[in-house]
Amino acid sequence: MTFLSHALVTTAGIQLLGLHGSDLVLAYSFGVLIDFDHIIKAPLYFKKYKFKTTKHYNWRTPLQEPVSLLWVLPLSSFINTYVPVIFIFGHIVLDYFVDYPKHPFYPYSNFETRGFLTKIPQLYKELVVIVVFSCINIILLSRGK
Amino acid sequence: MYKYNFAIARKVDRLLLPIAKFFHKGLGLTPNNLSVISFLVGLAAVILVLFQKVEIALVILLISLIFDGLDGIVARLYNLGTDKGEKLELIFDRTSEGIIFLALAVRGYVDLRLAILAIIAILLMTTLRRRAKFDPGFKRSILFPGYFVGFSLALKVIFWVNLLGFIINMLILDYSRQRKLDSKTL
Repeated sequence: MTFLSHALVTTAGIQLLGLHGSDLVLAYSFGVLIDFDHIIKAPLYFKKYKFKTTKHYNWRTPLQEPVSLLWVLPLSSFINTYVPVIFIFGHIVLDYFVDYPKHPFYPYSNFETRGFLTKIPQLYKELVVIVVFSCINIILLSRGK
Repeated sequence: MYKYNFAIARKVDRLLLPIAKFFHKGLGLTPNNLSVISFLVGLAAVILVLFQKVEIALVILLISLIFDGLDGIVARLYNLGTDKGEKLELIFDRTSEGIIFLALAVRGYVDLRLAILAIIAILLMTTLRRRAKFDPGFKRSILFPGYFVGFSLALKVIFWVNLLGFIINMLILDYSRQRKLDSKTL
């Protein structure tokens, strides 16, 4: 999903759970900023495509696959908060609605999946998420005031 | 850091070389024998921790670590390294690490949850270190500075370094797989 969808879902989660301070930072880090892992593969992309744009490059790293729960769960336990687990889980679920190859258990398994609801056009799914979560955010914000 | 540890390891190897030769040529001990001795000596350190003799336990742990180093040196020197031996050493190392952390928790030197988290982080890092060829090396040996700065801080360092080591290992493996895929489709 796009940055906007992740940001809207994460913001709704933050409002629902009433997070503040360091929990808020953790929520945005694991819900949205985890996407910056794509930078890791930038050197490989530029080596292959230079400045051409291509839609189907595998930018994902295991940091935003279900296997990442292996380190996020101990981390959450160490810092005494459930926030990283919840928000990375939300991020992963959203990404699994997008139709491209994913390796949920790499490096332990090469199993590949394309995710859920792959037959529905991506644009529809993205629009639904944006509209629904924008409404949720507005409602929660107005109730908060 | 990896290169730095490697350099230290080579210096230690050179120091232990005469002892390794004596154990193998003089006493006929194989690398697996030395792994077992290292493990048993490590268990003695655990018992001493349980009796709150931490200073003596650390000395015994140091001896266990020396034996742990000797098995590798003998294996390399006399070309006796096997997959089975490596696995055996790994099981012994992780087991003795785990029980010494738990012993520290049982005697109240560290929080039990912290001990378990440090063990989990080490185990996670271990599952990928052979394939990724990266091991930050912060494990039992950190208990020595831990005596001076507090075992809790030592276990926290072990937790963070090994968890980070696990993440780095995942990224190394993913990056090299992507490079292979890219070169195939060029």
